[in-house]
Amino acid sequence: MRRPPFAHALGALAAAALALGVLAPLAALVGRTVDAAAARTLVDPQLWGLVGRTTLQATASTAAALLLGAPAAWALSRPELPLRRLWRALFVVPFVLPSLVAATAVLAWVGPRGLLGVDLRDSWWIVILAHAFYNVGIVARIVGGHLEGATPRLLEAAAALGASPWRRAWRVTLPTAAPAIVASAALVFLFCFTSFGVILVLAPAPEFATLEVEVYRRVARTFDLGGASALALLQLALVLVLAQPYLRAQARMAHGVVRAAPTARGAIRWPALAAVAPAGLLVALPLAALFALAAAPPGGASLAGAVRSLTTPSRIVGLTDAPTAVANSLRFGLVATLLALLIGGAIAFAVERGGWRWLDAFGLLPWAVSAVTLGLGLLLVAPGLAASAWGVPLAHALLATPLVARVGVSALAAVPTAWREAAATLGASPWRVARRLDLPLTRAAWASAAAFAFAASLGEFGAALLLRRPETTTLPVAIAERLGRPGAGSYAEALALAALLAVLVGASVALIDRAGGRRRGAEPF
Amino acid sequence: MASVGPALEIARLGVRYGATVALADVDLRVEAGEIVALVGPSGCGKSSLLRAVAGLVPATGEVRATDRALHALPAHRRGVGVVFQDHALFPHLDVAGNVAFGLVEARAAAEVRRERTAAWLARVGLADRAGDDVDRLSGGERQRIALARTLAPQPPLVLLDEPFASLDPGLRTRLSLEVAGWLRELGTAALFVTHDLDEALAIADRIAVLRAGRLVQVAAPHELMARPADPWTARFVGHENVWEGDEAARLPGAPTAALLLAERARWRPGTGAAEGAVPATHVAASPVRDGWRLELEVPAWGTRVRWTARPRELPGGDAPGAGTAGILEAPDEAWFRWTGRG
Repeated sequence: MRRPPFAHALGALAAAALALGVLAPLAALVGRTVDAAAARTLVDPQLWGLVGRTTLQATASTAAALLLGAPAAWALSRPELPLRRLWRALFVVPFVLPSLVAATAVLAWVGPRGLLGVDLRDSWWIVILAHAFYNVGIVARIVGGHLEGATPRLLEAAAALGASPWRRAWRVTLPTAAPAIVASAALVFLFCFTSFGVILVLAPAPEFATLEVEVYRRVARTFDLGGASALALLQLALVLVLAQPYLRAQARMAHGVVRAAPTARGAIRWPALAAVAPAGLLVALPLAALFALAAAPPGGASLAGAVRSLTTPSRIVGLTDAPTAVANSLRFGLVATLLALLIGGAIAFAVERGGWRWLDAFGLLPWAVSAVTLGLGLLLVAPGLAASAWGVPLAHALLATPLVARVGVSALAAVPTAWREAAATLGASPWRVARRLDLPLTRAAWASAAAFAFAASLGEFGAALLLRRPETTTLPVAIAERLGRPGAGSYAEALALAALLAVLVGASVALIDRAGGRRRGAEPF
Repeated sequence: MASVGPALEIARLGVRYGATVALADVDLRVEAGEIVALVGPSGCGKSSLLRAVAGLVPATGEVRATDRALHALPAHRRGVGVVFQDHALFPHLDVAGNVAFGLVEARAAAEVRRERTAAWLARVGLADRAGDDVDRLSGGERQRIALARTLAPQPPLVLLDEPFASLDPGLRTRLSLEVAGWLRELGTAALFVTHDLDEALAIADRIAVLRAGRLVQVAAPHELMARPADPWTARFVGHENVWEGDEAARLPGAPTAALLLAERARWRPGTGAAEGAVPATHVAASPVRDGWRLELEVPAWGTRVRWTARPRELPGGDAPGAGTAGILEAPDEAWFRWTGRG
């Protein structure tokens, strides 16, 4: 079929948006780095100490997530696991949980004034624990989903060929799971290596800093834009290299997945339950602690007091009012979602209907560029715009664009060619085919992409913190502000705000299911 | 029908996919109101021909309809109706929405649209299913809706790509006759692809045989059966008694190649003489729908002949025992001979 002009127009629009929004900021970072003093940052031995410590931290965090997540993944793929849907839903939670909520939840569990009564703040333990809590769901979902799709029929075949349960696990389950394990491990490593909000809240001491945290500190504390640019580019380069194993493993996962008919529920339940329980508790306990402490804050504060403080101007000097932060977050989320739908949708149509294949890969660029890096780049390119009320939503829109584009591309690719041909032979021009076929058939996918984009914007912390001004403070930034203050009052407010943010994000993600996520929706991973 | 030329005129049509030639140098005419069947083995280019006419694949050559040049137009401006093999019903529209799809594109007034949609739903016997989800239709119902959807905008020509392939045999025969009836009623010309020769024989005015991307014969059904273009075509349309080369040289008249039209020949047990009669020994029999299929050894021709016997043509109505001697009468009108190089 012919490539319609409107697809080319959309492609040009999206390419221009990406060039202005991502390439120009990156160019500005390069421009700053070329400066001699900035380049010297890269040969500073302190920097390499930081990279080494971060690598060890990410390795330990990934190992912890794998250790708990892999058994859980196996359990999720077993039909005899009781409450399977509940466990599965539990492991989705960390996917969409904002980093600040995750950090606050871990703090409510094992922080000062935490429920457990041990204070692990400013230790490697809390960093690894928080990262395991935050990423165990990724392992469980990616590996579990892969096993569930690939193995039931294979295991039946192996059993028929005489393999015992242990032999089946060794000769079928493990080899099948291998690419998914590698892919999830690589992804978790990337997330821990570039961790920001979790580190800033749980381990603010300098020795725990990641590159992302260091970039932010140089901008915010010492205003060393050159050094920050150099570090941001170094991180981008490392991320691009570290992303390769993930991409390669993911490509291998695409092969050999056979959707199996549902199998009957077996009798043995305890092994599956035992395998899923540790990971399940790891995810459930901090969340329970967050809501328990938010409802009954420690240290003499009360929920009523916290709620009152959230609905009236804050009595603690220098903090942004909670109502302002909530309003900002919702407003920015809305604008960011609309912009991301526009750019991501344009990419998807240009790629699938206009044949702009290269735009597919180009559109993923904002995923490689971290939030803090993007914020810094925007600040360098257009300081006025970045500091205005448009700065944060613009950054959030760019960050959400790859997600919308991915979901859109796969949804449009799933519209059978035969249907579009049928429409054409009935007299529909390509533009009419897009309106009468593509859009209605992919509506659920766009709705779920929008919900994910909105949730991501609500929870985004790095760019929002870097670009913050008192009047553009968002919910996560307001939580961080309160956690940084001593006193039971601000702690209670932080807990209440984190609980509120969790509910808001949960509600917008719940809309994904409502919007038909079950039919033709898609998940970002 | 105020048509000014044939419903379809194809000249030197060619389609290639990379280095593979799917269709080469095809010339074909479909007269106004005519139904032409396109048959051929799988992979011979039947679907490519249809897709090239519809404008769904890039093609070389010319495609004209009622003297309108179509080859330079995109699919949506050709005004050629297509019924797809898998129906391609739109799942987001209900039954009526599917039937009305082309009418909306033709910018028919809402009133006309409703009227014609209702009329077509009634014609295909699904008037009470207008608001139904297309997923809830049975195979036959889906097929009818696909037809109604294609025919509702009243295209002068429709292309049907194995429209009945997915239906079970009983339904298939009934629906194909029904569809031919609608097409004739509307005076709509049709080019339809099928791999079922019986279907083609039953409803087509002419049959076009495609082999490896080239047309080998276009003829009326009886003509195709009685005078196939070459031995390959003869075998393709189901003839079993076809000889060529050295095998043919021993036949009466020593043709280059020959076809014995079995239904014009006759075998009976015993001995005797008649015009074109030769001794033929029965070797083996297998039951077929309307009797017995006999395998006859004919020493005079140095070959075997397959002949279907109705029970009343056999003593006792039963298959003769192996080795029964008999006479095969094959008068001159039972033979079709190719001469020269073929």
